[in-house]
Amino acid sequence: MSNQTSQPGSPAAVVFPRRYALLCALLSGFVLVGFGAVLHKAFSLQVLEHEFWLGKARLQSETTFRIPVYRGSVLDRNGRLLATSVHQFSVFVDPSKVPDKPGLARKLSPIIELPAASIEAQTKNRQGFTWLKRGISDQQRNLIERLQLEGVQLSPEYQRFYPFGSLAGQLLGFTNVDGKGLEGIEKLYDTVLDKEPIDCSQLRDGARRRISLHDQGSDDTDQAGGITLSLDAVLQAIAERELGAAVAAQGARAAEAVILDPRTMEVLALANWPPFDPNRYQAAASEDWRNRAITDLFEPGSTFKVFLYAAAIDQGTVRETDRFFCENGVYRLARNTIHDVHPHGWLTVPEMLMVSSNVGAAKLATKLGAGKFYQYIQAFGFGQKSGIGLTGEAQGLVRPWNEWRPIDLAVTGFGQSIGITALQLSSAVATIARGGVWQRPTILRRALRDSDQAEIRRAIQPARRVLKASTAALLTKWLIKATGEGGTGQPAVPAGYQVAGKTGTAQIVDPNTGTYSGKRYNAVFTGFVPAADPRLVITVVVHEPSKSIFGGTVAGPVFRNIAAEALPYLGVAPDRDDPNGKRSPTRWASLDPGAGPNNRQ
Amino acid sequence: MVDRRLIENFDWWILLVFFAIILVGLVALYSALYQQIQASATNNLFIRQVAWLLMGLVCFVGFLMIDYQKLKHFSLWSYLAVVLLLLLVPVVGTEVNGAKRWLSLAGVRFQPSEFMKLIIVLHLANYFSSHEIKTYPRLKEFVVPVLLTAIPVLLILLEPDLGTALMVLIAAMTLIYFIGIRLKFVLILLIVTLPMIWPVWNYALKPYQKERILILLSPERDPLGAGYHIRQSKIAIGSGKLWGKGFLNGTQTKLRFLPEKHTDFIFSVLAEEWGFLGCGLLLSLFAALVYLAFRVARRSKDRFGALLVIGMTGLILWQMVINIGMVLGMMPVVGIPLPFVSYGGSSLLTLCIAIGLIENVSMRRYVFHSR
Repeated sequence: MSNQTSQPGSPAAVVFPRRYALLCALLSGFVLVGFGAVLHKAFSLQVLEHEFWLGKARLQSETTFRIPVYRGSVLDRNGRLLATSVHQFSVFVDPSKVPDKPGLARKLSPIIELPAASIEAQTKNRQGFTWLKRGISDQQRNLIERLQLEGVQLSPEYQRFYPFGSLAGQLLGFTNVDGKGLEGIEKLYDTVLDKEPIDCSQLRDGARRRISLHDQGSDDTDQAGGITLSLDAVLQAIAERELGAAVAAQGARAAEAVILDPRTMEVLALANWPPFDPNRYQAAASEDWRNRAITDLFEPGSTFKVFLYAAAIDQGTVRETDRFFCENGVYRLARNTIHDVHPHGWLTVPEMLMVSSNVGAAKLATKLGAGKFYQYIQAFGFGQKSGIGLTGEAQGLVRPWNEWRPIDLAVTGFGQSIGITALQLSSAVATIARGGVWQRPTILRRALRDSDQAEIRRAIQPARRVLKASTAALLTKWLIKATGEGGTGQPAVPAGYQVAGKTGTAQIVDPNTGTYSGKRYNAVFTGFVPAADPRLVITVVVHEPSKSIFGGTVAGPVFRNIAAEALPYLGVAPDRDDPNGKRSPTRWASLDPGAGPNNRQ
Repeated sequence: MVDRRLIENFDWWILLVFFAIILVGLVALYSALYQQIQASATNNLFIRQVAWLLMGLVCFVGFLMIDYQKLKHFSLWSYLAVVLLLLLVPVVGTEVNGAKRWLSLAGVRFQPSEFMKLIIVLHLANYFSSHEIKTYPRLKEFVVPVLLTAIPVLLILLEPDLGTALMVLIAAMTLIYFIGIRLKFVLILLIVTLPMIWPVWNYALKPYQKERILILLSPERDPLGAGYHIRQSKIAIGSGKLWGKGFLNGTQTKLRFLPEKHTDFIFSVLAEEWGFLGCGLLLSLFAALVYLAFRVARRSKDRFGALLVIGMTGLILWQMVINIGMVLGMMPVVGIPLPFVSYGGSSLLTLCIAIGLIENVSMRRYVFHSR
C-alpha cells in the first residue's frame, strides 16, 4: 500500500492506514458477532433452558426427604395415654446401590423376619427407594446398622402405639403406617393430631456428602399436641371387662355399653365387645373395628317405654293413678296380637311400667297418639345423630309418624319398629336424670394446644327442655320402682345404691323372614345411679344372648357390676344401707392398667 | 517531569472499565473462594490475588511511565530472557497436576509462559514496525516471526500447557493478520495444516483432549467423566436465570460440583450468582474495553504503537472469548483463564501490564509533534 510509507505531515494516517481501520472494523464486527453468540448462548442457557438446568442442579445437589412429625397423643380425662407416637425406625433399600442383592437378602432376612426371596424381589426391577419393613425394633436396628450394608438405610419414623391395647380400641380407631387417622378418634381429630410432615431439603456436595445448609425445617415436633378425651380409662376397662364376662356367661354374639356423666353429658366409657386392638388392626376382622355403641342400631324394646310414659305424663294424657286393663297378657289389635311375658289384669300406670307390660304400653301409646309420641321421640334425640361427632355414627331409624298404622304406634310404645343406638338411648335416659333437659353428649374434653382449641370447637347445640321437671321426677320415682321389689330391673341394683332404670328384651327381626325371630333377642338395660343424685348413666346392650334372654337377667347384672365398681372409684357415697351389710368391692384400683403412662405430670 | 499532554491524552474510560472488570472479578472470586476464606481469613487465594493485583497496579503505573518507544530496545532481550526462563522450567520448574509450568522465585511461583504472551506481542510488534517490512510481507519475511513464535509455543506445549501455547500463537497470528497476510499464504498454510489434522488427532492429542473435542459435538457424552466440567458449568450457568441466585448463594460452587471454579470456570460462578445480567454486564465491560483499546490503536502515532495496542487487546479479547466459549460449552475445554477475573497472579500481572501499555500508547499519541 502506497500510503503506508512515512508521511510526516499526517502521522495518524501514516501509521494507521485505512486498511488497519478496516481490519479493526472487521475484527470488531467479528467480536460483536462472537459476543452476540456468547450472549445468545448465555441467554438460552440461563433464561430459556433455565428450568432444565435448575432441575439438574437440584437433582444433583438436593436430596429431599420428609421429617415425620410427631402425632399428638390421645389422653383420657385423667391424663392416661390412650394413643401415642413412639419413635421407631423403618428400613428401606435403594436397589440401584446394592452391589450384591442375593447377599443382602440373605443377611437381612433373619433380622427383619422376612423371607430372603421376597427381600430379593423387592430389590429387583425397581428404581429408587423401596420400603423393606416399617417400624422395626431397636434390636433389629442395631443389627442392621452393624451389617453396614450398601444401599440399605434406616429412616426414623413415628409409630402409633396404644399402650392399653384393646382398651377403647373401637373408639380410638387407628392410623395407617404413614400416620393418617383411618378410624375413630384418630380419624375424627386427624387435623388436630396430625401435622403435615415437613419436607426438608438437604444439600449434597460433589462428593455426595450431605451438608446441612438449610434449617431442618421448623421444629414443629411439638410434643404438647394432642387431645384429652372425656373417657375414663378405668371405667372403660370396667365396662369392657364386664361386657366380656357377660358375653362369655350368656354365650352372646356381641355387647356394648355406654357410661355417661349426666351432669356434663361427657362420655366416660364407650365399650364394645368383642374387643379390638388398634396396635394390630390389620389382624382384626374389619367388623370388629366398628364402634357398635354408635354405629349399630337395635330395637330398644321395653326400655323405650320410659319415653312413652314420660311423654304421656308430660302431656297430661294420663295421671299416676290412672288404671289400664292389661288384657291378661294377650291383646288383639287388628290382625296382630300383643303378648306380655306375665299376664296382668288392671294396673296403675307406674305398675305397668314396673312390670313392663307390653299391652299397657300399647294402650298408652294409642291414647297418647302418634303425633305427640313422635314429637317426644324426636325431642329425646332419637332418629338423629347424637352430635358427639364421632365418625360412622348412625342416625337411627324412626319413621315419620304420619306413616304409622295403629299397630305401628302400639308397638313403638314398647320399643319395636324403631332403631336406635346405645348412645342415643343413654342420652335420652340422661335427659330424665338431668331433670328433663336434653344435651348433646361429648367425648372430647380439650385440645392440649391452645391453637388447636378453635379447630375442635363445634357449634354447641343448646340444651333443650324435653320434659317438665316434675315429669322427670315422677318418672325417676317409677324407674326406681322398676328396679325394686317385683320390678324387672332388680338384678341391676348394686349394693348400697339406688338405681333408676329400665330393662328391655327386644326381639330381633330375622332378615330372612322379615318377622320377629322367636330365638334371637337383644338384652338391654339402661338407667342412672344414684337415682337421687345421678352421677352415671349406664346403658348395656347384649346382643343375642343364648342362655338367658331377658334384659333384667342378662344386661342388668352388667349394669350392677359396672356401677358397683364405678361409683366407689368416683368417690360417690352409697345412698342407702346395704340390706346384706356388704360393701361393694373396690376392685377398680387393681384394674388400673396405667402403671406407667398415667403419671403424666 | 510528566508532560501535561500525557495526562490530557490519558484514557480515563479505559481505566474506569479496567477497574470495573477488576471489581466484578474480585466479587466473583470472593464467592468462588468463599469456603477458603471462611477457613482462613488471612491465608487464602483471595488475599493472594489481591496482593497480585496491587503488584499489578504498580506495574500498570510503572509501564505508563516509560515511553513505549523505548521498549523497542528491550524487546529482543526480554524475549530471549523469557525463552531462557521457559527453557529452565522443565529443569527446575514446579510440577502441579502433572504439568511443569511454574518457576519459584523467593517463594513466589510464577508462570514464564504468561509473560511470553506479552513478550511475543511486544517483540513481533517491534519486528513488524521496522521500516523494511511492508504490509503484506513476502514469504521470507515471515520466517523470523514464525520462528519467534514457534520456539516459545513449542516450549510451552511441552510443559504441557496447551491453553497458553494457543494464546501465544493466537496473539502472534493477530499481529500477522494486521500487518497483512497474502491470501496465497493462507491457502498454503491450509494446504500444509489440513493433512496434519489426521496425524495430530491420532498421535499428538492425548485421549483426554480428544474427549474434550468430542464432548463439544455431543454434550451428553460421558457426563461423569470428560463431560463433567462442561456439564457442571452449564448447570451452574443455567440455574442462574435472569437475576441469578444472589451473591454467595450459588450451590454449584459452594457444594464443589464446579471444578476449577476460581480459575477457568470463574465465569460459571458469576453466571450462577448474578444471572444473565451479571454475564451481560461483564461482557459489556469487555466489549467496551475492546472498543476503547481499538480507538487507542487507531489514534496511535506509529505502527509500533498500533500493533502493540492491537496485540495487547487481542490477548485480552481472545482469552475472554475462548474462556467464555468454553464455559458455555461452545468450545472445547482448554485451560485458558478469564482475563482479570480468574485467579492467577502471573496472568493478572500480565494483564495489568497490557492495560498499562495500551494507556501508554494512548498518552503518547501526540508527543511525536513536540519532539
